[in-house]
Amino acid sequence: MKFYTKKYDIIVVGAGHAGCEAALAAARMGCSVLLFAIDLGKIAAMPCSPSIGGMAKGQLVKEIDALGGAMAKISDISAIQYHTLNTSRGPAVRSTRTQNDKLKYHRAMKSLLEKTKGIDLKQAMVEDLIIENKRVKGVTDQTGFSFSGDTVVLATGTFLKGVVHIGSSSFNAGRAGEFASMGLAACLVREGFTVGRMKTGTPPRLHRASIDFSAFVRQDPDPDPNAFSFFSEKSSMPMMPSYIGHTNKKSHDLVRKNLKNSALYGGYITGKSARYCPSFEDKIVKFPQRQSHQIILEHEGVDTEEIYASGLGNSMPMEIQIEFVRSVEGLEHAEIMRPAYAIEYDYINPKQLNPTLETKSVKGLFLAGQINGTSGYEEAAAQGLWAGVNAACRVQKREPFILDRSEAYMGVMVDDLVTRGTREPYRMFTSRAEYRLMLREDNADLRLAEKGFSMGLVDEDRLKLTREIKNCTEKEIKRIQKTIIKPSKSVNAWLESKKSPLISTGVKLDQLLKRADMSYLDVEYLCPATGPVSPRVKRQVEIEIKYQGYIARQLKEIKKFKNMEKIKIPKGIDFSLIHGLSNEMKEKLAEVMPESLGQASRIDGMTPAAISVLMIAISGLSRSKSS
Amino acid sequence: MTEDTIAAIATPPGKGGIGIVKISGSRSLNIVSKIFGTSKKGPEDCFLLESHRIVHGYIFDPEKHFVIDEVLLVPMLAPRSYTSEDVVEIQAHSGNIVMANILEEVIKAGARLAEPGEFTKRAFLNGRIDLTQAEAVADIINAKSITALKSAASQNLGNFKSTIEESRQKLIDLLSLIEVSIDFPGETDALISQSKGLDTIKDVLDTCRSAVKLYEDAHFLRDGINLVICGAPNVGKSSLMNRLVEKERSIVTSFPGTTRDLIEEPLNINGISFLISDTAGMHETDDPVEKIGIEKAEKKIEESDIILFMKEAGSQLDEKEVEAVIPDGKKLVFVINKMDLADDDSAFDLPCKFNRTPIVKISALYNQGIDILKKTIMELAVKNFEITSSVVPNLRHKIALAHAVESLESAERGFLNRADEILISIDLKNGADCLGEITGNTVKIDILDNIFKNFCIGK
Repeated sequence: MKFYTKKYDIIVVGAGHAGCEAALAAARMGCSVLLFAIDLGKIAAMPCSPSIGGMAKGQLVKEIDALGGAMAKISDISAIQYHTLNTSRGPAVRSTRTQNDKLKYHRAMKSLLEKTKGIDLKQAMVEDLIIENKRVKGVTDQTGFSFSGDTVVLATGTFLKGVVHIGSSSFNAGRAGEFASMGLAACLVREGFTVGRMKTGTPPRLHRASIDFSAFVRQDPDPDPNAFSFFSEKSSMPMMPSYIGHTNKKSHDLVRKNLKNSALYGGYITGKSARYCPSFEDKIVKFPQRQSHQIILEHEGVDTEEIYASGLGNSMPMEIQIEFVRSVEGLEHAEIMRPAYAIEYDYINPKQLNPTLETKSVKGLFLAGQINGTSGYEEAAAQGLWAGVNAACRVQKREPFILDRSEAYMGVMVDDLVTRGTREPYRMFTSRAEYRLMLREDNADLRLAEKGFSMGLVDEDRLKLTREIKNCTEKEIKRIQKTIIKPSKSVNAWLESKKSPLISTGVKLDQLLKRADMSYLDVEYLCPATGPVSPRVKRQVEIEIKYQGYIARQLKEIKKFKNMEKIKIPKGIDFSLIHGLSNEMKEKLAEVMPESLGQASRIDGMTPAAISVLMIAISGLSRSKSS
Repeated sequence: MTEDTIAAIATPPGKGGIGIVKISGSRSLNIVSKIFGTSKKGPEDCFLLESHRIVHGYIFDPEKHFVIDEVLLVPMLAPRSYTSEDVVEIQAHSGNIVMANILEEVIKAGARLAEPGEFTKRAFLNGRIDLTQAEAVADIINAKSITALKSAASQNLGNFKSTIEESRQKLIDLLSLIEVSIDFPGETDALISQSKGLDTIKDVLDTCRSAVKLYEDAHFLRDGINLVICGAPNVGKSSLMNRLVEKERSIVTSFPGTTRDLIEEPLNINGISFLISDTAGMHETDDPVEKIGIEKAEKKIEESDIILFMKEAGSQLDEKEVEAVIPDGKKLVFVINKMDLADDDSAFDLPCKFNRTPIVKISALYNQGIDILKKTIMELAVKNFEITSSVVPNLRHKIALAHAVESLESAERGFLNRADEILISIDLKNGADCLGEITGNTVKIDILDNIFKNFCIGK
């Protein structure tokens, strides 16, 4: 075996959203990193939607950003539209979404990687892992050339045995037009991993000039957006709109008539698809009563005529796709530049991973992104960062980096994956996070700065800044809670102008702020702080006071949750020997190998009695050890 | 690691001499201080009580300030107790109702109902039980949870549970609507209107509240039903009383007005407790002692649940005579006594206002018709409960229902004040979780499943 002379701390296979964040995070922690891409021209490609963020995903991006990651910053460089979702629903579930120039996004990320000290970026297809005694040693490329690394992060996306389907035709590809990774897939099976099959897909891209936009409703970008990143300025690219239209009876009849010709319903696909991202065939079959579905046309970039036709994803043969697209009002003359397609790929059931995203069976091998059965750029990037940091921790012999379900959406996602596994592509939703009131976009940096700093992911200035924001917020909250507003003509005139009930006795300022129709600005008018208060602090104060009762309740629940997380299950415990557990519970526990009693309680089908018995056993073990 | 203070009835159900409610945890003393006192004056601070010494006193309903039972209290402070935590035992006069009442007060005062085997589990976790007994502890927990499961299944809880499950599903559907609008803004036309939200919540609240009421009514039923005998002097009220309680409780003479004061006696018919009162005969009198007796009788009638209105065979019943002493809406039985003296076919005409009121002919003297009278009383007592459901929720259910009501009332306020949907969602989820405790659906609600089934989402 021929080896490259240089040895690396971490080898990252795949330079998509997961791989890039993994490499960058490890490099920030001072590791030497080798990052492989099959095609350096496709780094941080956006093979599907041209957007970053959205519900729950925006929270993930902010968390990545708060831990020094790149996704939000690159979004700010390449954004051609900003849109804050759920502005009418209160700050806790507000999410940022950008539409991005895909080429610009790729270039900016590639440039960042190239300029980052400690990262070697190389083009090669990794075909095999070098594993000795269940420990990873490096990788071998398709030419047989090998590279040594202490740890390997696999971030292979849809490339493992990828097969693209268009109607009845199919071909091996990692994405349309790119090689699939066959050798690596075989290698993982050889190492004994349980491999499953998933399916995803992408809609067609249309030529802008062939579209009659007058048939669509134009949706303009937010006029005065904030930057996505806590650290950067907002994009200076030209802002571009998107366009909303609808399918009709003709489109539906056509798809219904041709179901058998689709890859999905023609019996060509075995992989499990996501319910939240249905191919058009699925929409027709599962919701037959619907007369129409929404579609959104989005620009793929500033220097391209390609238009992403969200909502028209399908796995029909070309001739039907053309007819289908043209059945939509405004698309009668549309030219398809890239066809829609479905893609099947291998994934590793993530129950085979530790909460660090390291595989349980092969030491030093980490998996991140779609290989773990997830979907989405943001989910991938978050896992990439998580795996990169933990690979670095392994190399540097530091404690692993774990955020729990009460600290970050990332923590919710990783815990879901390693504890419950996933059968369909896993996407983040706010409803997956039981403490989502606390896990907001606006406080991502405040939540994560301390931990980020301790890992070397966040610099000291940033840490100080977040501490100052927290202090000022606390002070201002105290002031507002103490201030009493006396009824006066001017006060009541102001309240009246806000259509808020008038006051007849002294009222505490925080009580007024809790009213649905009052904001910090009103508080400021009624009784301003003595010194200046930054806009950031004003926002935090408003949120914390308005949500006070509910926040207190969630904090109480979090305390209970943390108590269960603190009860650790000894490593290497043999669940089959625990008296009083049913065989079913023993199997479930042995499969997941939970690290804490809390994690064990979240395994599907676990009963309170089984948890009690487990608690007895753990306590027995620790007592017999100490005595 | 165990912060909650737990409580349970530690003695087997049924009629023993003494029952024990056991409390364990750091708040034990705090809890008994709210409900225990050494005198009838009311609850008092129990922190000064000496450990492992029996104290005599009373358990109070702290809200209504009445005595629930006379008890012995045994504080056993940490670490010298079974669980190594602060333990307090309340020894009371057994009987399911009294014990349940005391337990309920303990829980209201801040304890949590213990899980199966939880005392033993704590004893083990706190090092009180030897390591070699770990397996036995596991067995106890398993056995007890299986017993709990079996008894839950064996009780005829089917209807009750399916009603609750229906309500839970309604909450989940409502919650799904909210979640879909939060997680997929602009992707669906599913909209949640204030009125739909309020309607659903009101609907579920009604179900929960009436189930709680059912518990409370049934509870009152088990506590004892006030049964009052009234009628003109010398119709045989005291004789009837003696017949019902099967002893010479009231003095019986042939002189009208013998019973001047109120006489009360507990009575058990088919397991249901009654408090039966013999009242002074109602008539105009100048005798001050008798006058007081009659006033007391009037008050008793006011508070009564069921009234036995006695007449002599052969006399006539006048509508006004009844209305003069008995308020409208009271449950009433006409008891015609001295049937032994009457002709066999003597008809007794009821005024048409009372043609639906049961009428029972007896002879108190010769013990005739008493069984039929008891049956009639029973039927009246349980009438309310047959209409709604034959199943009465147990304490665990009632606690869960009360918590659900609390959360749903908060959600209701949220809708009314147009609070952020995320806040409403927290309340709704809590409400659904509480109901899930009753139906056994403690698994995390899969809102997402519900969403994907009902809404077409996605690009």
